[in-house]
Amino acid sequence: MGLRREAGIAWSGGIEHLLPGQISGWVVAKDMPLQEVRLLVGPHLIARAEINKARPDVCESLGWQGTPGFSLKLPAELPPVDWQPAPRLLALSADGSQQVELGLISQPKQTASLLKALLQSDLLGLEGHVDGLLQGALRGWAGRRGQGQPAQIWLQAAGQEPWSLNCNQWRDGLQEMGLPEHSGFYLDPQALPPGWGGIEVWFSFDQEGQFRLPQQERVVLPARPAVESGVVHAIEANASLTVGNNPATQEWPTRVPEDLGHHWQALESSGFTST
Amino acid sequence: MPLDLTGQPLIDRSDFQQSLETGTFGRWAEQAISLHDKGYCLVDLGSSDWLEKTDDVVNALQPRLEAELKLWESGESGPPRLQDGWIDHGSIRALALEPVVLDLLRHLYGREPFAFQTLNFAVGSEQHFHSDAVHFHSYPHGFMCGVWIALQDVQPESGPLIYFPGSHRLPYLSARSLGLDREAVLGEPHPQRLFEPSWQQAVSEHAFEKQQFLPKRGELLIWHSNLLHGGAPVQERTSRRWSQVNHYFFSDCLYTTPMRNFGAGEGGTSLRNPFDLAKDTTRFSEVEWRDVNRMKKRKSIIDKIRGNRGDFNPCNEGWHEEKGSSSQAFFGPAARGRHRLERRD
Repeated sequence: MGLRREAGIAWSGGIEHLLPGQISGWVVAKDMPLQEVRLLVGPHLIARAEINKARPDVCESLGWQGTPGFSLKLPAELPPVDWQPAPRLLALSADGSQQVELGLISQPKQTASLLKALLQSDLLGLEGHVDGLLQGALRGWAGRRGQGQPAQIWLQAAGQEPWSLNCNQWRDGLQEMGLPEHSGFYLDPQALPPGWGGIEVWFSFDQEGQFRLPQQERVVLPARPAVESGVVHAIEANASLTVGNNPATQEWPTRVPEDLGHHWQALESSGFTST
Repeated sequence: MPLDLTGQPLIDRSDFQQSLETGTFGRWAEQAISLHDKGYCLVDLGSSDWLEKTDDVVNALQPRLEAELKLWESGESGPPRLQDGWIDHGSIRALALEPVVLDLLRHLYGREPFAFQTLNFAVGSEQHFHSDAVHFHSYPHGFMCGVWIALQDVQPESGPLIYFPGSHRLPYLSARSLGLDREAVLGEPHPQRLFEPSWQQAVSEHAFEKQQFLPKRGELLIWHSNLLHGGAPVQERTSRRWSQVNHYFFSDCLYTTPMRNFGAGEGGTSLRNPFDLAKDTTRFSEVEWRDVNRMKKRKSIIDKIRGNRGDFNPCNEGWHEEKGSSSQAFFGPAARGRHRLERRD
């Protein structure tokens, strides 16, 4: 990672995660401390956040000192605004005299169109997290503050049709975050068609897979043993899986796995104590 | 009008404690703490002048509501209420524009308040508990509140105001957030009913404690836009509970009716152009309102209002909270002309 120079400012960074409820990333600028990020649509200020999150990985890579990370919460709904000026995410100095426009680190040219699509979509405000494959099941949560209906998310994998999932499982800790407490999900990989065995999967808020749920680790489903054809047909007939309340949610481990213990969403959502 | 959707009322902000310590709320610190912590605060203006104003309202409304009260007492109708009585009665308008209350709201919210609706009750409303923020709300959120004024001492059998302290911190709801079907909402004469199960569930899950307000004449209660409140059942129909509710918005916002806010595919957001009682006009001028609605079938709405008001169905256009709601119906000289703005007292 190196610094680039624009309008006299040497800086580096951008958006790492563009999620329906949150935009996060990092930014550093030489000779000019950047204080906050602002999401604008034309003249309208949609959201703002301070640049104050610790990012030891970025600091180590750039030889930087400070807290260059940011996490911008998006509102769950927006009033009608004129979308002709493309949405922009700006990082500004304390007095506002210096600013840089941030793009998606992975797809900088798609930033404006993806931001616009997200802000205009019904996904806006959705939050979620994938805990991973725990005790043989895919677990996590997704929901929106004030939401009455369970959120629908999609299990994705290369070469597979997205698999829809309703997040309607009771889960401790969600209420404290202002989310419906029945926003958890639980999926037994054995309930999936055999083609899903032994492949990497992820979850997205949208069917197209543009907006992924955050997860800490890659998730690869266990390889599937040969299944009797009659069972396969019965499973495949279930095109969309809505998981009912499952007592297995009460049987989670009493300690946070080491890899999840570093993730605030995993900690808060699972109700585990960080010991 | 550039919007700042990150704005929050001072009493809702995360730096509330700091504002408190630096004296931002002035003489209203006690009320600020209560509104922040519990979602309501109490004020006793106490002056004889104020009490006279409250008496003026009762004296003005007694003859007007007499017939309806007889029907109520005999069980032939529900509890009568008068919406936007300020149009006919200067005494009601005076309570809504009380400078001390406006000063308090200005300090607690950090923006300029304006009254946009009044409701007067002679008896308990018996209304199911609800959050005003599904009826009226703002972008950015939170810039709305209600002020309940006791026009007489309130007795327990009269169906007092009830409320659930702490419930103001529940998420704001809308038709969209609850996934309500547009047709179901528009077809329901009282769309609030569609939200009531959610509130009941929230009260149960959070174990909010129900309290009732038994004030003396002239005392008032200010509630946060999201505080769950309602009217207790009336035990004795001959008992009176004269009261006035003033609803306020604040400056530099867009205003909306969340119970009519749907997803993008179902009509989107329902904006409203509230009437400002103090200025005797709608909050947005016709030109401003057109600009606000640029994205929302501007032409058809304006044309309908100007040309053929009789065919204009507010429920279909996403403009109004409820048909016949006078404060929202004011728009432009033609619309105002149909409402009697001259006052009786």
